[in-house]
Amino acid sequence: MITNQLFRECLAEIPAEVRRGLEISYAVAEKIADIMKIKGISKRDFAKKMHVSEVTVSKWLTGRYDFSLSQIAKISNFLGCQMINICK
Amino acid sequence: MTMKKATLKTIEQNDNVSLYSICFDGNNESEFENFLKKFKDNAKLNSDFRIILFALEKIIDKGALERFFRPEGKMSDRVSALSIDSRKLRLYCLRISDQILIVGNGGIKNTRTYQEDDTLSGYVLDLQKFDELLLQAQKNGSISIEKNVIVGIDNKTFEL
Repeated sequence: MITNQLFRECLAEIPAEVRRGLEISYAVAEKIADIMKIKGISKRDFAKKMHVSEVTVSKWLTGRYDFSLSQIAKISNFLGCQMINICK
Repeated sequence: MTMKKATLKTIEQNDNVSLYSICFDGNNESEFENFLKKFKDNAKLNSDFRIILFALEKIIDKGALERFFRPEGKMSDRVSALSIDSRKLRLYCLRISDQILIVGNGGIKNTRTYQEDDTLSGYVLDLQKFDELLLQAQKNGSISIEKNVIVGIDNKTFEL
């Protein structure tokens, strides 16, 4: 395994709450990508059903998109699964 | 036109993914490390910088998946960008495969297209030229791609 010291130092400076937020965005993106694959939903179809552009769907899938709760709810509803589970 | 000598440096590597970057004219510091030094202490762009770095961390973990990137350059090349929607900082890369990424340099995009910015277009052009040379080297057998490794790249110098 090879790592780069400068890169790792920069990564270590990411505050925990920022990291957590990014983890959530990536997890949502990954879940969307997985379900699209399982259900054979193309980006085009997904975009059409969600009334957004394909470009917007591409942005969702990057993992760097700042989803709103209502967007997550709509996506969950369309894909038929919970994007986020809240522990009780 | 002055030719630049370029070598490839391994930045990060695990069993699944390799991140390389380009070093010019015998420098040990790569374009990616230059990018890190340029922006790591920039308070204004801190948030964007962190997001891009986190993206690279995810790439090392999950692979250089196509959906993580925004296509840049031409249709015929493998130049991509790590950028954040409607924000200005971007990092240009050559996405060779899900398992190999060559990270270049990047900067702030204040123009509508990168071609309108001399610095950014320079970074993209370097990657495009490198992409061409890499493909040629593969074709003539002096390097080969094996899973997450570019075999034969260690002592190879390219002229851009």
